[in-house]
Amino acid sequence: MSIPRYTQLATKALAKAHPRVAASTPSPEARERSIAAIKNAIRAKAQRRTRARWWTGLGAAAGVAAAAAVMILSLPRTASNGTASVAPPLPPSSAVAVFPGAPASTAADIVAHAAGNHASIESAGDRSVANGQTMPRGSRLVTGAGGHATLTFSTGTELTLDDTGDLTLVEEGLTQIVALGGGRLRAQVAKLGASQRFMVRTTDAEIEVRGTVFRVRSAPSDPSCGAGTPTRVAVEEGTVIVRQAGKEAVLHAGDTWPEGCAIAATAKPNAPATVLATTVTPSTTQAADPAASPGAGASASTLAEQNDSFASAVAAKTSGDAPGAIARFDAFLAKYPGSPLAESATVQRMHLLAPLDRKTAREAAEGYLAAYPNGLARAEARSILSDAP
Amino acid sequence: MRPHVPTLDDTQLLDALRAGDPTAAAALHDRVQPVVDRTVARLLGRRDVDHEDLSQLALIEIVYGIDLFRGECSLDSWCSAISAHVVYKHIRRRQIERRIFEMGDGLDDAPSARSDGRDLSIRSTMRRVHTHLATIEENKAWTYLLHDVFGYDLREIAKITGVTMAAAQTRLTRGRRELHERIAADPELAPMLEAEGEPS
Repeated sequence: MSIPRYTQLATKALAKAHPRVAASTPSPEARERSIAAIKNAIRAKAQRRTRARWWTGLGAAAGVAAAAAVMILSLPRTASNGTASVAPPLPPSSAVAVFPGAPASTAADIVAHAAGNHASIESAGDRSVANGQTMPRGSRLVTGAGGHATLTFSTGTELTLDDTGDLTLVEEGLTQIVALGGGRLRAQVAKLGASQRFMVRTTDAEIEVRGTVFRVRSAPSDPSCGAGTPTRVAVEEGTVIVRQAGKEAVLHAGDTWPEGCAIAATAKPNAPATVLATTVTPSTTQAADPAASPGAGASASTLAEQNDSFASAVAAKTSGDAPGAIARFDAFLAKYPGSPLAESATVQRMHLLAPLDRKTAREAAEGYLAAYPNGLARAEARSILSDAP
Repeated sequence: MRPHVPTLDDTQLLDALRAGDPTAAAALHDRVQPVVDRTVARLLGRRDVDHEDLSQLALIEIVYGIDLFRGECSLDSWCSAISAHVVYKHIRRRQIERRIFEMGDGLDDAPSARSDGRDLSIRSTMRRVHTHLATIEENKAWTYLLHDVFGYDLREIAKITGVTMAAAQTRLTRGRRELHERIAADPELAPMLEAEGEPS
């Protein structure tokens, strides 16, 4: 297979920008941290294997026992005000796994990974969860500013809790439930069996998924958005059901809930401009980010809104919904005409229109050339204009 | 600071890990940390704030996936692919796909050919190439980069990106073609790349 010429030239240039690099030798402290994480992962894997053998040996009886354990040990729903946990407010740059007074159940196949220096898992009471260890039902994972953590389920489901997040493992077993008390969660949910369920609960909503990728976030209540609900949901792949106030909404890839609401982001130090939808409860007591000034916070929030809006349009395009993507790019450009992403949005819109609506595509091309006479897509715009109307 | 020398050979190490022996942790770290570190640094840039976090996550993923290593390639290649997968998931998760196209650490790590004007020209060329890459659908752009720039084969790319080899091949072909078309349509970039030199 021959490689197109300009691609070959670009490859040569890119290779210069991404050269092979020599490995750096970690500091003794970093080495010890990594070795400790590896040890915990080895132990957790061995525990998981032992449990798998035990369940296999019991067969159908093990399935019945698991269902019974879920019913008998089912914990009350995490309080919606986010203050059910006994953990005190956290200092920044820390993550704490907090365990309620109830004795630990059979260790869940849910392993916590806290990433490096930006998040640490500390003990509360007489129990600790180290990096790579399993988290029992009822435990709570909280990340401070700059931290994030990953929960890996034995089903293959993976949750990522970003900074200033608060997540409680409510249920495990056939039905897995987590409660997002604050922050931003990305859930990549594995395909589940017919009897399995996975749900995320926020302060006022329940999101159920089956084999999908989505994001959940709480935003400050806005009466103009979804009757003031603080919950925001964005779906990347698959199907998600959102239940709230007795109503049910089915979301597909590219959809957001409530529809048409902007998803504001929490400013994160050193974070890139693009961010994901998150949930932050109005009642959260997390300390404000000391690095953020009011001005910086406002612009970071607007930029994050722009990125969320742009990403939603791209997701629609990726999923094959060209009309939906066009509508989203239209909404983006109407709301953020001066955005750094405005030119990209205009180009994307022009590309999508070209095969669908030649007249509107020509108008878009004319508008692009007027606004960006030296833009990178000017050749494409001229090509659209040169086509017969 | 001199690197630690692993105390177990690869066979002993793999056996110990599969047996669940936590005392093999140090040996695993010292054996594969260099390749993990190089992979993360090359894909993300040495000064990326998430470098250490991702390196640690990659080491954990290697532990969890060690039973799947069948010796079909070298341990280094396998660990590099696992690390690239961790970086790939991280970038997708953070929707920072454009960081790979940004001009920060990548160019700072690159050797300087000549000072002043020549460097500026190279940077300008790279910036424009990156801009075109950013307009290509993410999966195709990543597949092209992983294959043509970073040297992973299609089997590894399929594992890194979670698709079949056939899908990876299709993405590579289309990504290359789209990049070529975009550059060809850029009347300023095409001559700049021609001036940079013939493809190797």
